[in-house]
Amino acid sequence: MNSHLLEWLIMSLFIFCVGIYGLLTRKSGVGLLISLELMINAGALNFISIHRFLYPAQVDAQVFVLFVIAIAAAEVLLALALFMLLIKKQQPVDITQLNHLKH
Amino acid sequence: MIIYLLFFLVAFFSLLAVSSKSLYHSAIYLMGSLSVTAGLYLILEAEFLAGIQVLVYVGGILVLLVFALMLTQSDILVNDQPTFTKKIMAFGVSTSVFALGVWLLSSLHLHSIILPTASSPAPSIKQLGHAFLSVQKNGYILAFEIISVLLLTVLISAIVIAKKEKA
Amino acid sequence: MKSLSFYIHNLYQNQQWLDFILYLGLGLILTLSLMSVVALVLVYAERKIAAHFQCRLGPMRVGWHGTLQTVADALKLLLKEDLIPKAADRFLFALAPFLTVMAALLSLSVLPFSLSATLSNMNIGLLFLSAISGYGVLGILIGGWASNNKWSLLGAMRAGAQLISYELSMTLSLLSIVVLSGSLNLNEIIASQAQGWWIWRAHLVGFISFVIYIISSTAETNRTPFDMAEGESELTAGFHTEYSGMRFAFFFLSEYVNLFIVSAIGSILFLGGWMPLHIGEWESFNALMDFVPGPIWFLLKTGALIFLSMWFRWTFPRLRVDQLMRFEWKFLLPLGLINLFLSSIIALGGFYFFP
Repeated sequence: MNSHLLEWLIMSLFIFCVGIYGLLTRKSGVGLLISLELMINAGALNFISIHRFLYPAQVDAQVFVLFVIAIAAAEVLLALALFMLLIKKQQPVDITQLNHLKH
Repeated sequence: MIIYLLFFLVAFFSLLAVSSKSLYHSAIYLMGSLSVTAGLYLILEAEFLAGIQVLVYVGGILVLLVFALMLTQSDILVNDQPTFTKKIMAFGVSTSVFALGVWLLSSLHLHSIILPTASSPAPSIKQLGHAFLSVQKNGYILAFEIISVLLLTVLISAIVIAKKEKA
Repeated sequence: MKSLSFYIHNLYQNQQWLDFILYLGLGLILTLSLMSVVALVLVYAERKIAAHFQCRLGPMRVGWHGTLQTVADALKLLLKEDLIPKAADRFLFALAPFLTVMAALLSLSVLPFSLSATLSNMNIGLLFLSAISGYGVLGILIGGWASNNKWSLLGAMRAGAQLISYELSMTLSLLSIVVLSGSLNLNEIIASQAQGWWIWRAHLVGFISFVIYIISSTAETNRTPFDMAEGESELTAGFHTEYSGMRFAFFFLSEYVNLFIVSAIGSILFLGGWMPLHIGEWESFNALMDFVPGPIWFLLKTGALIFLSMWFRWTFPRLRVDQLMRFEWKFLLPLGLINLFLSSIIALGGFYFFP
């Protein structure tokens, strides 16, 4: 019983599409972030599975995924800081209503 | 067998993470999905990555997310329910992307590639560290430094954005 | 190196189902029993030590010198009614204690009691330990929010802010030892201390990171002087105000198991874990020390660190929230960074004592 590459790629594609669904349906910013994390995670899983199946001796994919995780962390940090600012200004974190620049 | 169990769990948690009404629940399901992905990394022999995944996502990002959720008292966070038409449209888009991807992948003849055995070991943590900091042709020292500058910038800008304004 | 992934690998390569299930089952039973024994002993020890610090006798009635007191307390907790507040988020309220207990349980499973008595000899042991502690933080945060109570929420916020802040300097002090020993595997870290423990072998660097570790681990376990999260006079009981019965027992259990775990990590990294105490050229002394088995050494060192932590509790007054944060971000973190820098210089140059 050996697992083959196609299953893994379809799996990460599935998570990615679930992320797209979330991105299209969520209204609040935090919900968008959660869907975005899922999509990033799917990309990373794709990277690692191709690395393990096709080029198991090379480090590059793992280095890349570490970079991806670092950038995902940075992105969440900035987005949450923005949301905190909105909350402090008594505005809802609702992306359908966030259509003004600084007044 | 254990692989399919993990696949099922990832899919299950991801679906719940995007569809549950309360965002607090969503965050917890996201935690499940990311942790099980770390388990998949273990199967793919990327142990260091699995550890970092849990360390950064669960210990960092999710704690931050839950923290931010806790600081807010807003209806949209406990009840973020899309309208039915929106659901249908999003479902259509994501299924068509999925179908397109499966069609593309199935044309690639990937059935023959199976999981390598333990005889072809994955790169060790030492190799990973050397790749990060090497200045040779295959090194990533420049990217590493840029990422660290980026993280510092993000840290400072997050503080600047969220800090109290002077009266 | 037989790690967890080795067993997972075996499972789908050779289909050794029975081996795998036996390994998992035995491991689970061992860690669970270790967990309950540790919690029972530590709760008793805490009460006795606290009593003697205050010139009292402590529990004396149940059993000889009150030894059965904690067993009786545990029974009482199990029999208590399990309350869930009406306005609470039931799912998260039920989940939170399990997350903290799971973190404690998983951390216990990688601790090396001796070279052979290691349940899972992972090659990422230390990384695993610091990663898993994230679930505990999440459990506290969620438990505090799900209770739908002001005190719980405030306690959880304080606990969360404190835990993420002090995790930074804790990780930095762990990293300086990783730099010195050149491995993340706990058994290899212990083996690298054969010539001398890191607390004194790396000039002052090891000692400074030991001090940083002790301070930040006290904060990580939410103990005095850093127990703002459950400051009774301000917050009733902090994040577990609404919890009762079994669920409260889970939080209580994981608190003491976490105390054991951080002390165990301290003894592994700085005091040589299961390594016996050797002094230079004193052959007969060293031979005598070798006679004591590894697990005894490990438990002795861990016990010493636990006693230190209990000693702190009755010595220092509680800090204020702003003092706590200022201490971490303006003093401990820069010190940890400088210390990490110095330790990499020492590791590169090989300037150890007893090379």
